[in-house]
Amino acid sequence: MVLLSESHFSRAFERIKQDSVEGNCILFVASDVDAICACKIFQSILKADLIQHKLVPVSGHHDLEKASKTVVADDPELRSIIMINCGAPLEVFELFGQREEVQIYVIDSHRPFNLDSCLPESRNVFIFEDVSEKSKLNEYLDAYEDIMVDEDENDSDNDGSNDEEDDDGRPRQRRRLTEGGGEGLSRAEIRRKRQRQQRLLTEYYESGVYHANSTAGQVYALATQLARTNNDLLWLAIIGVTSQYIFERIDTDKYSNYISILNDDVTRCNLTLGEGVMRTGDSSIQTEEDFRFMLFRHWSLQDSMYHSGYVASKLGLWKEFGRRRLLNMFAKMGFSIQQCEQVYTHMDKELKEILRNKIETVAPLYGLTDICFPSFARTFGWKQRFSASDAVYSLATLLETSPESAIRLGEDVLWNQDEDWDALEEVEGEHGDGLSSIRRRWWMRNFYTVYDSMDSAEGLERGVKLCMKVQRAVVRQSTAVLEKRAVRVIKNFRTVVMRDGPDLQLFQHPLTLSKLALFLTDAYREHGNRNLPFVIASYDEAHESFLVVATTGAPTFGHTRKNPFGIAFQKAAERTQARISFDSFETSVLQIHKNDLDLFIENLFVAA
Amino acid sequence: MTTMMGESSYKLAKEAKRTSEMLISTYNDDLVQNVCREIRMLHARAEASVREMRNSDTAPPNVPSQLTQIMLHHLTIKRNKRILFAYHHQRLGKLKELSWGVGRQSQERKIKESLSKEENDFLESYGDLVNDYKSHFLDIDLGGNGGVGLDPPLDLFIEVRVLRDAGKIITEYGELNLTKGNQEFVRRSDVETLIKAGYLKHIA
Repeated sequence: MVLLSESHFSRAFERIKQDSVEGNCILFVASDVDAICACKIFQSILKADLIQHKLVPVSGHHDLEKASKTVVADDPELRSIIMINCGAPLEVFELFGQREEVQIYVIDSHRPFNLDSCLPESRNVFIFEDVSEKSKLNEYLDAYEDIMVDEDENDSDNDGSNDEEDDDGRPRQRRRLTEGGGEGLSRAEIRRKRQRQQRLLTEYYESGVYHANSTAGQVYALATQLARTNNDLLWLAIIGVTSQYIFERIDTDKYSNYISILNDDVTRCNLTLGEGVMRTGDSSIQTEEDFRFMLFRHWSLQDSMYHSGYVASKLGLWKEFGRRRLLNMFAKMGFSIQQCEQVYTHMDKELKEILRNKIETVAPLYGLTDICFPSFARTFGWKQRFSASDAVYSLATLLETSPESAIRLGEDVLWNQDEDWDALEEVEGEHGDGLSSIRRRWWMRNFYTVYDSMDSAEGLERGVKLCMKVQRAVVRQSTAVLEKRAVRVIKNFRTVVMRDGPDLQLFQHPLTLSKLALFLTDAYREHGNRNLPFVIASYDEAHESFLVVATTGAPTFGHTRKNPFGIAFQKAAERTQARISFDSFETSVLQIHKNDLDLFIENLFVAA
Repeated sequence: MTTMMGESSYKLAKEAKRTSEMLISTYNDDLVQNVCREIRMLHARAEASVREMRNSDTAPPNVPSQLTQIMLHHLTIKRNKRILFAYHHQRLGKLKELSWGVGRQSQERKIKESLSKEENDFLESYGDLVNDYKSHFLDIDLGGNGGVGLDPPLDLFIEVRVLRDAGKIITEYGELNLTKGNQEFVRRSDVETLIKAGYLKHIA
C-alpha cells in the first residue's frame, strides 16, 4: 500500500537506502516551483547518504509514459521510483509495468488520490500523506475496499492485513464484513450500504481537484525526522509552501498552520544578533509580515500596487476612477506622488519606516483588509533581501516564460547560455495525440534554469526583473479584456477566448494563463455580482491549438474551492468528440484543436 | 588625425575584457592593424619632430611644446604596444589551455576559423609539443578542462546533467542509462571521460 503518515516517513527512507545498495533509484519531478524545491531538499538528503540516483523532469503524462518505456523498462536493477508532485491520481503500479521488485514512493500535493494505489494489495506503492486528512481518507478507503471486495467475492484470499501503518479499526472491520457477507446483515441493508459507499466514492472523485500540504513541506518534514535539515533546506520549504498560497491552492488557515510549524525552525536556526546588525555573507531568514503587493521591494510602490491582483481588484484600478482612488490613498498616507513613483530602494528612509503603520491604518478604509500576511524573508549578504513571495514569483516566471518572449520583452535572461543547452530543446514539440504546443520546446531548459537559480541571488534577481515585465503584460491584457467586455457568461461560469493580442505569445504556458485567470477572478469577485468559475483560452498560432485553463472562483479572498473542471472537460470532450490533449498534471489545463473549441465550451457543464 | 590617439587600442582593450570569459573569440584583425598603423604614424611624427628640433637653432629647453609633443607620442606608442601584448597574451593563454584539455574536439572547426594564421600555427606546434610531452607519461592524466587533471577530486559522487544521449554505460558497480535531459548523481570515476567528451556537464 501504503499511506504513510508523517511519523513513518523516515521508515520509507530507510527502505530506499537499503534498496540503493543493490539497485538504482529514479526521481520523477514535475515541472513546477513546489516540485523543484522538494526535489532539491530530497536530493540533498540522498546526497548526504551517497545514494546514487537519477533525476528525470516530467511535465505531463506523456513524459511519464515515455520515460516508463525507456528509462524504467530498460533498467533491470531498478529498485525505487520516487515521484515528486506527480502521480497521486494515477495508477502508478500499472504505469511502471507492474514490477514486483520496484517500490514506488509518491509525494504529491494533488488530491484526490487514486484509491487503487492505496489498497493493501498493491504493496509496492507508498504514498506520503498529510496527517490532517487521515480520518476522512480512511472513510473513502473503506468504501472503496468494500466495493472492490464485493466485485471479486470469488477470490477471498485478499488478506493482506499486515498493514502496520493503519488504524486498528480497519482490518477488523474488513474481516467482519467478509464474514458477515451473507449472514449478519440483510440483503437490503447491504445494498443500501453499497449505495451509500458508491455515492461517497463518486463524491470523492468528482467533487473536484484540490491541493493538500505542499510537497516541499512534506519532504522537509522527512528531513526533520532524519535530522538532516539546515537553513537552505528550510528556505526551500518556505518557498514551496508560499508558492501554494500565492497561486491560491490552499487557503489562509492551512497556510497559517504550515507557517507556524516552519516558524519554529526559523527561530531555531537563525538567531538574531540585534537590530540593524548585518554580517558579511549573511544568509539568514527572518519572519516578517509581507504585503500582498507583488515584488514591492523591487518596484516603485505605485507600480507594485497597480500590478498586484489583490489591490487592483479591490480598488478597480483598470478604471480611471480606481486610479484616482489609489492616488487618494497615497495622499491620505502622507506620501507624495513622486515618492510613490520612485523605485522602492530610493524612497526616503523615513517614509519606508512609517509605511507599515500607515498602510495598516489607511488601507482598511479603502476596503483593503488583511493586506498583510505572515511570511519570511532572506538576506543574501549585502546584495539583496528577498521575501518568500518574491522568490516564488521570480522562479515561477523563469519556469513559464519562453526564451523568445523574454528577449521580446527586452530582458536578457541568461538561459544557461552554453551552446550545450540548445541540445535540451525538443525539436518536435509533440504532446501526444498529434497536438503540439510551443511550450514543449523550452520547458526542460527552463526547468534546469530554475533548478540552478534557486540558490543564487543573481538568478532570483533576473527572475524578478522578468517577472515585472510579464506582470505588466498580464495587467495590460486583463485591462484590455475587461474594457472590451470580452468575458461571456455561459451557464454557470465565465469564459474568455483570446485569439489575438500583442502579448499572446506570453500566454502559452498554463502558469501565466492561470495568473491572468486569477487576476480576472479577483476583479470579478469585487465588481461582479456572482462568484463564478473562469475558463480562459489562448491561441497558439504556430500549432493551431488553444490552451485552456479553468479556475474556480473562491467565495472570498484567501479561500479555495475544489476544481471540478477535470471531469467536466473530459465529459465535454466525449460529447463533442473534440481533439484534446490532457497532458499536464493539473487536470484543469488542456490543449484543444482550434476548430473544436467553440463547440467544446458550449458543451461544458459544471455543477454549481 | 581626426580621431583621438589611442582610441583603437582602447577598443581593443575593451574587447579583450569582454571576451575574457569566453574560450575562443574571433581574432579582431582590423583593430590590430589599426593599432599598428597608428604606432607607425606616431613614430614617424615623433621622428620628424626630433629631426626638426636637431636642425633648428634654439636649444631644446626653450621649445617645451615640441618636447611635450614628442613625449606624448612616445607614451602613446608604448601604451599601444602594451595593449597589443595584453590582447595577444590573453588569446595565447586560452590556446594553451585548449591544447592541454581534450574535451573540445567538437568545436575544432569553429576554433580554427576564429584564429589568425599565426595563432593557428602556434596552436598546431604547441599542440605537438604538449602531445610529445604527454606521451612520456601516458598513465598520468595531466589534462585540464573538466577532467581530473592533477588536482585530487574532492567528492566521491558528483552531479552531472546529460546533454546528449549516451546510451548505456557499464560501470564496475552496475549499469547507467544516460538519456538526454536527465540529471544523475553518480560516482566521479565513472563519468569523467564522458564529461571530457562533452556528453555530460558537471553541476557544481
